[in-house]
Amino acid sequence: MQEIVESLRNSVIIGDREETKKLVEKALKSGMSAKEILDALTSGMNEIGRRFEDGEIFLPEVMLAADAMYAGLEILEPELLKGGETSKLGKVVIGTVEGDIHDIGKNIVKIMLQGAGFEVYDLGKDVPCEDFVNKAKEVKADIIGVSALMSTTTPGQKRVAEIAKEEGLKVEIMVGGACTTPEWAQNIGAHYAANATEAVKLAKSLVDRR
Amino acid sequence: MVDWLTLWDKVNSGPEMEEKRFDLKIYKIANELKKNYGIVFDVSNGFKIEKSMMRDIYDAGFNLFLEIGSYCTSNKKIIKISEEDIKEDLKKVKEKVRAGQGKESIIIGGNKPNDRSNVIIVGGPCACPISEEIFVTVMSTYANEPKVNALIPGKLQKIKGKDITMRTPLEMFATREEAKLTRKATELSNRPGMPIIGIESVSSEAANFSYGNDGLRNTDIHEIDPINELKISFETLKRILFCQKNNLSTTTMMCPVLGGVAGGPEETAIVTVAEALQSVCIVGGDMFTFAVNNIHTGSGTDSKSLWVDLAALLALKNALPMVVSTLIWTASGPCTETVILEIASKTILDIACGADAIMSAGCTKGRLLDCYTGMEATICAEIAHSVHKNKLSLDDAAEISLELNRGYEEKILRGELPVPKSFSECYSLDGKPKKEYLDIWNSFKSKLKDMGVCLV
Repeated sequence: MQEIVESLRNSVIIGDREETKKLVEKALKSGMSAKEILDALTSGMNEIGRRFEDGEIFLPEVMLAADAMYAGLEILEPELLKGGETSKLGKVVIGTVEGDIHDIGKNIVKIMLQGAGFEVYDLGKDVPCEDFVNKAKEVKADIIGVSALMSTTTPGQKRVAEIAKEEGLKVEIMVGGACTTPEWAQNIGAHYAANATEAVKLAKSLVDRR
Repeated sequence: MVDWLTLWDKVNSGPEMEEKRFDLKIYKIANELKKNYGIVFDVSNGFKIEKSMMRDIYDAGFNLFLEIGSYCTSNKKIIKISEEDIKEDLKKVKEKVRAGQGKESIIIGGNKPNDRSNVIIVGGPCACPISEEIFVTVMSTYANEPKVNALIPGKLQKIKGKDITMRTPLEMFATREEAKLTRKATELSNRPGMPIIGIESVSSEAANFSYGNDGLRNTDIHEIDPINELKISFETLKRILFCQKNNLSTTTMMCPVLGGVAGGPEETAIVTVAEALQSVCIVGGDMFTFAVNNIHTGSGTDSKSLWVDLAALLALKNALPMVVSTLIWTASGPCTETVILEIASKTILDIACGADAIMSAGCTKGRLLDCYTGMEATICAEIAHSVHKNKLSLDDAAEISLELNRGYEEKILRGELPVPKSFSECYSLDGKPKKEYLDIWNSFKSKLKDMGVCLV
């Protein structure tokens, strides 16, 4: 079993979709629990996250690893549900705020959140403020993540927080991006994440206390 | 000049591709080219690149652009330019760009790694946030610096107390206001003919509206902002059309992300060259301005980013007579020794590599309100001119740049930066820098002199 766990972890790390799918099937046939397989996949993504933050790898490798993990999760998800388990720690609606077309950072956060076990609804870039709140209502999200990379688009983060409050939505707002600061987040009643690793830690702590 | 209708046909007739697949393809091809050409990032022997590698980086960038083209995010199609057309466009690349009026008129271009006699300094907050109450005062501190040749405005956050929301009429009002207030600063400094470079906006409507009676002139340089990496949108096309039809001089502004889709330093240098070719063949920019941004530091002055500058500038400047400028994006802020080190390290290197102009500076990674001053332009200007005046060889400049970089690299990587001062903490009411900032700068000048760089 340890050999399969290692192989699963490595297939995610090297971004091999097909190998990951084969290994997940092999692992299920061998009697491994869905949870054990999920942990192996997640450990691969965690290693990818560490290597990215340390500058050893770059965004494309993260994207390929995530693809491999998603491919494995597709096969695994029904098995997890059968066992009454879920791979999902919580639900996050994420996007780059209206008027902003930068999405590299947001994409990394999305991938790492999914890797950590969150169900992520990615609205893309240049997203109208009310769309964040509407989607969060629709899917009963725990967290709304709003990215802004320009000083002129950070007011959109404030607007999302305001709309959520006006509509009485019980949701945590998480903000990040090149022009966002902890002070800004505090001013608008949101939580600040400096990078993808911090975003995952923050998201976990926010769902834990809900 | 790019024929707009031909470009429009290409935008609409190319094959469709998912954006994510295009991104992965950029990296895959750039990575293969890096290996095929043997391009290696190595600063263990300093910031050095062999002449053969300069050519290889250019050829790799050319081949990347040839193979992958550009991507239109609006219709998810690839725009491919044939090798013949790329070469034809490159034959017509502009060698010089004129800007400004009267005694403030300037010519940008003509620098090479061994000839930096025409250094142009563009001073300004580089689209970083400035309060409306002090906008003119801040811009005046850049205009008052005699060695600054042109201005690049900051971004207003509010107009008459109202938050500026993107893609609204107020944003259009704001871009015109940014141009108008910057012009006012030039008038107060008795330099009404000074050229302005701008105005940044993702909305073509807003960017276009900055041009007009009390806004930008046809003697200014108008900014066109494609998307990284190697992407444009219908907004970019509208902007290109507007600038062409109004016969405006333009600069393409790119911020290649090191560690992003482009990958590592080698791939990012290759992608930067490809984006310079995109500027010529698709955007039709008269100038190409780039500011490498490291995904981890959020700034462009760490050693990997500086190496990309070195590689891309030398590759382009040795291969083409095109006008290339760079923009300084620091992690630290005003009135700190760190910001001076960052500006100095990048300025010495970029000017030695033949950059025709350098824009100084977007500090604090653009995060903080009102943390930008004319001193950052003064510092850049004095150092930039000293490269030519001291007849620094590329090797000497590279060595000095790396030594300066060692003074702040770890701080940037660990995020341990000194607390910056705001504009009003750095400058007195009469628009002069305060003693504290001047003392830090003067002390630094002595250190530079010991390193062989005398500021004249």
